[in-house]
Amino acid sequence: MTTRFRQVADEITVTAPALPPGFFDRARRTRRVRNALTACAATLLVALAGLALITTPAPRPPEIAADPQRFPLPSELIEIPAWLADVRDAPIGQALIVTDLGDRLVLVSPDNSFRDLPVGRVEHTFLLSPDGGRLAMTEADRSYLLDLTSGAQRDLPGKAITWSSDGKQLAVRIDGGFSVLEADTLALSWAVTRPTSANCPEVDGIFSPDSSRFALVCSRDVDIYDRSGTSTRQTLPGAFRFAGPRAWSPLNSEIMFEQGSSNHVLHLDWQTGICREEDLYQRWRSPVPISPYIVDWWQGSPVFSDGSDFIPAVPAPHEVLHLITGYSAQAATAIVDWSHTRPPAEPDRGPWLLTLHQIWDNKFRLACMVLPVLLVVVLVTGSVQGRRRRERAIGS
Amino acid sequence: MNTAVARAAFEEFVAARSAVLIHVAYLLTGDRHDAEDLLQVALARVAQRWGRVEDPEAYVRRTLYTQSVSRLRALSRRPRESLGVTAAEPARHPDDLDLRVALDQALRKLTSRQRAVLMLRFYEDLSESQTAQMLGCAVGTVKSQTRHALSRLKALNPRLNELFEDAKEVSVP
Repeated sequence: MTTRFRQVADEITVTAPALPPGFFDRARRTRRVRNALTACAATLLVALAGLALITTPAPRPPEIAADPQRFPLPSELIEIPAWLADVRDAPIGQALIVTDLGDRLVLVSPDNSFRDLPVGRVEHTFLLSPDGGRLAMTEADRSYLLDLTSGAQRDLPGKAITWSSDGKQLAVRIDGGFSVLEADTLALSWAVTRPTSANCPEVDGIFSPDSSRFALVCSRDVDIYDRSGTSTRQTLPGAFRFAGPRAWSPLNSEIMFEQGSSNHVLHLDWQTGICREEDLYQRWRSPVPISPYIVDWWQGSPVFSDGSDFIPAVPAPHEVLHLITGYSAQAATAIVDWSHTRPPAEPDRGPWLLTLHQIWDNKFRLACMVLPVLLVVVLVTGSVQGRRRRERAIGS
Repeated sequence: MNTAVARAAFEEFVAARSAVLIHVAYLLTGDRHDAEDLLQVALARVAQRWGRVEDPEAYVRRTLYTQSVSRLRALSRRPRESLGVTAAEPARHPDDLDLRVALDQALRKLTSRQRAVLMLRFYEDLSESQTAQMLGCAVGTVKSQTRHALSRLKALNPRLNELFEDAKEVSVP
């Protein structure tokens, strides 16, 4: 105890001031105004953040050149990043590759932009247009065409089967036949009505290289239709399938078929009906895949795919893209330069705000909802406890 | 609590305790205008929370001490509002008057934190840990600030050392 100090300090005298009139009410009003302003600012901030999240304008997609350029594929797509912007929110413009990761499709542009398209785990199929500007999707009982330059979706009247090589027409399967639609307008260009057969519940179809004909195969029967509805039927020596969406040779004379589990293909001269078999292994050597699946033609020779890799036959068979095993991919064949690959580059995930849409739309939705609530609870609890602690300290 | 009742209780509290509180504020600031300003801040805060604070005087005192060492408050430029007129000081014994004047002048030469530490330790008679808790700093800071404050007082006027002779735990260098 320092009694002496206290005595002397107490002798330093200052007169108590008078309280200004309205002091109490002014103090209360100040606090109320401050609380109201803080609440308004917080509300405004949250509203602006929400508004920004909802109404973020879609970034302008890159223009597609009228005369398509050719781009090499990346040599590998092993580590595909998570949390990419949704292609519907942030259109990619032009996809060079689309790969299926089971619950989402990942689209990769020529300039290495990556985008997601969530598809859930429902059964789905997709077809990338040759110019990379559109994606025909079938999910469960819905088929639609996704425009990759705008993110817009248009419903299709049936399941998409194949694109024409110029990408201007799309064949869709409708009960009782096929319809060929103009890709720009989805207007019916021409229809193929095939007589129903109990033996052929499922048939495949491909376009001729000039898109003027459409071929269907069912078991041993091959029907070739032209725009006028005239058809020609040829018979195969056994049950075959088309050897891929570009099984019709660029010279327009032959259609190639495969039978599965072999390197052999069957060449059919569709005008004369003459067939001949060929062992592709003998012609191209390894690594031509078993069950050849032709996705494109490059310098007059086929480009094979085994689902995850692409194998151009010239100048010598070589893999041009290595994907995660088990995942399949499609390439925009009209813009791919199959002669070489480029090293993988740092991916552009898209605008960060739009990646939040992806997080919100997917499996993190629950976490997105629960975490802020938990945060608020923790903050409120901490604030209340802190206030009580302070009051206890003052009381003591 | 009804606002009118709260206002009346607050005004009664101010009338009863403002003399003591302005004294503490003056010792903490060393300036009459700053003391009035500091007390006004503390009273405004307790007025905003009137009815929820169990011990208003303890709350005001705590606010006085924490605000007196607040850097944010030191940076702010508050317009000064005179709350009243200082009354004439009563006559004192010459020796006491000399010591009082010396202490008054010496306290103004200390930093705000040193004044706060001296007041809490030797006027409010708090322990070092209680002082540290009140000011939101470490006990070591309280010790060092006390040592520096006392040495500064002694340097300013050696007679002031006798004010702290009964403080056993403090050694003035």
